[in-house]
Amino acid sequence: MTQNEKLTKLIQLTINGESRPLLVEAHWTLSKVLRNDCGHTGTKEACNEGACGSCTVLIDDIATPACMVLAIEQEGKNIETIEGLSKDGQLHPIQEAWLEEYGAQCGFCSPGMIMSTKGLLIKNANPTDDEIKEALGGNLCICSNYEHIINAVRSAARKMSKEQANV
Amino acid sequence: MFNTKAVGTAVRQKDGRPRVTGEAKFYADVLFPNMLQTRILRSPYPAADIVSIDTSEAEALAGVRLVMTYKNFPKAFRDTLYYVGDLVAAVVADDETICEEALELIKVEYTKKKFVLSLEEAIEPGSTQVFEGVENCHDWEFHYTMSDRDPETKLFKTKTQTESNAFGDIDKGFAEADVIVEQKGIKYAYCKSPAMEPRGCSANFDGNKLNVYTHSQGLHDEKLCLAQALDIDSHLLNYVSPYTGSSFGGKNAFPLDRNIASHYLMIAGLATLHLRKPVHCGYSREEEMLCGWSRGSIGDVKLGFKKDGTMTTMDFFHWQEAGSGGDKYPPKNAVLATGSVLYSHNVEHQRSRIRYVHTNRFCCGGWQGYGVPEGTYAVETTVDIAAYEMGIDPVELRKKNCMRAGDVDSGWDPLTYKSCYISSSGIRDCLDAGAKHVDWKKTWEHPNKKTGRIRHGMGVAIFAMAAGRPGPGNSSEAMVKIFPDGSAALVCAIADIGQGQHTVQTQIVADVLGLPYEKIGLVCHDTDSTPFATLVAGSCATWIQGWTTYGAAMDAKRQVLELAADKLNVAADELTMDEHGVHVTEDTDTKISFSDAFGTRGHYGGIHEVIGYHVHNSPHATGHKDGKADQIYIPKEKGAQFITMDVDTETGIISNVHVVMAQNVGKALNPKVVEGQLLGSRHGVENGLLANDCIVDKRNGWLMTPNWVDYRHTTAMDCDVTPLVIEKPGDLSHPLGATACGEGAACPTLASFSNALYNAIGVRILETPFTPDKILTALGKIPAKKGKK
Repeated sequence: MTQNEKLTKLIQLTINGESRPLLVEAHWTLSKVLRNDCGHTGTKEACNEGACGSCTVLIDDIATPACMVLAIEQEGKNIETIEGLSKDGQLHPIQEAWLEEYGAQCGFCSPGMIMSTKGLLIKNANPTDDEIKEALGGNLCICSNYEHIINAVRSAARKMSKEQANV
Repeated sequence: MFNTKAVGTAVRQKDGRPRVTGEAKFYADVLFPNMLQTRILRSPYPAADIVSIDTSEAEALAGVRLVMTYKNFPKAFRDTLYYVGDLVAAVVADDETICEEALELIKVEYTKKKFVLSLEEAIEPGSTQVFEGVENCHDWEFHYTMSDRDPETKLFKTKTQTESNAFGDIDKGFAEADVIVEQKGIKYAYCKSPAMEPRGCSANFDGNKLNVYTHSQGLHDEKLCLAQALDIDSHLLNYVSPYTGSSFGGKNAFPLDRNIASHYLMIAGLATLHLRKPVHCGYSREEEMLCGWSRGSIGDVKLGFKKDGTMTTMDFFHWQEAGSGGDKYPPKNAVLATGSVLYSHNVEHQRSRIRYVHTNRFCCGGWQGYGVPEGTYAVETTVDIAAYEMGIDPVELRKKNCMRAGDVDSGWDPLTYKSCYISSSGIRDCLDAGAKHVDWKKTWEHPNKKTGRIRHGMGVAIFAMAAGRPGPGNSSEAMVKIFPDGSAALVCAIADIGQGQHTVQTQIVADVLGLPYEKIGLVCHDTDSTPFATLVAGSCATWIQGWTTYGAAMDAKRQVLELAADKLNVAADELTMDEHGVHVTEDTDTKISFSDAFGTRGHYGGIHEVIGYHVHNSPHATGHKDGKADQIYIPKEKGAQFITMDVDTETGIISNVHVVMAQNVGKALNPKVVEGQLLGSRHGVENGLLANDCIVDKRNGWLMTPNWVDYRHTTAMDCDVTPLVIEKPGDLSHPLGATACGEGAACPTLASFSNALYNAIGVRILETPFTPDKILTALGKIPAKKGKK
């Protein structure tokens, strides 16, 4: 394929609740499109082969490495990125918990970790430690801050249960 | 001096919020319009010469802007290749797809040469030479013998360049020893510096200057090197790095040395200057693995003891795989694990010798422990062997001999000082705390008492490593601005690579000024807006930048108090500053606001900001014994680590790995930050547990593990770490009594892991990683592999 033979397609993606048209090439991954075409650079790329979890986003509430799916196949699905979590400057309880428990060191893995956490807490509001470890098993933190991260997930679960109870 | 409010508490991380919202812009998140992309053609051979290279077809491809080779950019490329992944050419084009297409159009004719791929092979006499006419093995160039010890100060007065680092009389030491324990061939498998964010940079020429967006451990250091390497004036280069996605030393950039891992800077810098267009050059994960700083070593250790376990003599021989370079930035720190520091208390005779061994692999460099993990692994394995041989509890043997505060450090920085004092230790407290946590006294058992299929193991190791690089070149500067509204800003380029320096330095400013932590801002993101700051390496930032920040805040405060003193008609030393302004210390009603003290009147008149400044040259302003200029205290990172595990003797699988990391941090400036640093103990578990080994195909030198699936890092599922932060405030080298805390946590891990494994199965395995097949072979359950001893 040369420059002049690129296959592009106009698609419509729903990202953080907003529908937007995007002109994409067939081989572009979702992480590439989120970063380069949507300005959602909170989705990090560290391996581009599904081994590290730093590009994790939610697709229809399922935590998914965005480097492992094609953008062109995501029409009609709800894509949620780290940028969709805080509303009007108000942090999401998971983000609050992350700050309280020092869940981030360098912070490069944090967006992916936080999205995996949200995916877990949607399915399981009160996870055990083993369930937390399993849910984050695909997210590397090379600072190896896992104890703080696990504390943050526990704390987030408590915060969200409390919020739920107050509704 | 001042009250500590922010210091000592887990305040919110200064730049924590953008890190959890995705707003933090790491270098690759800064996208310039029409930015060109780069791809690198890398050598498929471990040793080859380029006979010819034809780039005409690639250059003719639509969208290709530049093809770089040794012909047009000899500063960045060469025609001799030393490792698989070495630079052959680079394509700069409109997008990555075009780059990749163009790479395939470059025609290269190589002459393949003989190569050598492992430390063991390269050591052999007559082995293939990596650099023609140069021996593969050579001594570290800074070995010194210390002698002429002053009986009163215990410091050495004379140093002589020799073939090893030594003091005392090694032969006499062993002749007089009651027990001699020797272990050779303790092998640390060749592995790679890790970092979450892959390396790279984006360069942009804005009409006036070259702006380089990248990650950094030392913005100013790297900027000065890059300007020199690009042959432009330093003022023409702005180095921008607000966030770094972890580094561990592997992102230290030395563009002046073509062997070192900074090719992205040279390629993007040269291309941008040539094309006057923004250029991005970033590495893939595979390139990270091919061209990341490495370590790998073999250690031989011989120890001499008195009957009661007093260690008097140590001989240490360290072979370091240097790859195709790297001897300029060596893990000389390995010496710190020897009697010159770690066992400084009783050792009277020591010799340690480091030899570099070239191979056709990427170079070694200083990362995460800078040689200490390798040295500690060899020494602490042998100390453990000695404990079992002498029938002394491994914890007690270490407590008897380990480094103590006030011991003489003869292992570090022989360039500047003959020797100096160790400012604090606390290793014995760490051993006690860790032993208590794992209930060592009640639960430790000798391996010969263990039965059953699953064997529980408990291991211990201690460590000490240098904090920073004392002496010339290790300076840092900072400015502190105070504004009329009572807020302030620290202007300082210290890099926060995840170790929390932005938070900790701001805490220091808050408390010196008496202002709330939330009122202190930070300007840190580029070299144009900040003064020179030290490279954050060797866990030096709390020490060196801590002094600097403290000095700059004191200077700013002094100026504000003088302004207020003038207005209040009192002496400045009678005044105190807090969030409301300045008041007389003994009379809080005699006060003045910041804006009145500054005399600020809207846009006109008065002073609009007070700027404090400090430059710190270590160690000249650190602690001195009895105020004597030639008797200096040097801080060390130090502690003790315990590992417990279960080993299945039928499958060779290790499980339930629990690491307990106890470290004396002096005063914990931020308890959560230091706790986070201690969690770094996990590094080393992967070397032991997770088959963390760069396996190469011996036929062609190709790396078989160039990804995070085959070369694993620990996840939340692999082990648990309990950080035990031991506080013994009052380290004599620091204004707030803190001491270094950082990469040290990873230094003892492989040793304590190995010692726990021995304690479980009763057999020593001396080669990492400790894979199930090695464990089963050691237990005699499966035959040894052919060709292996």
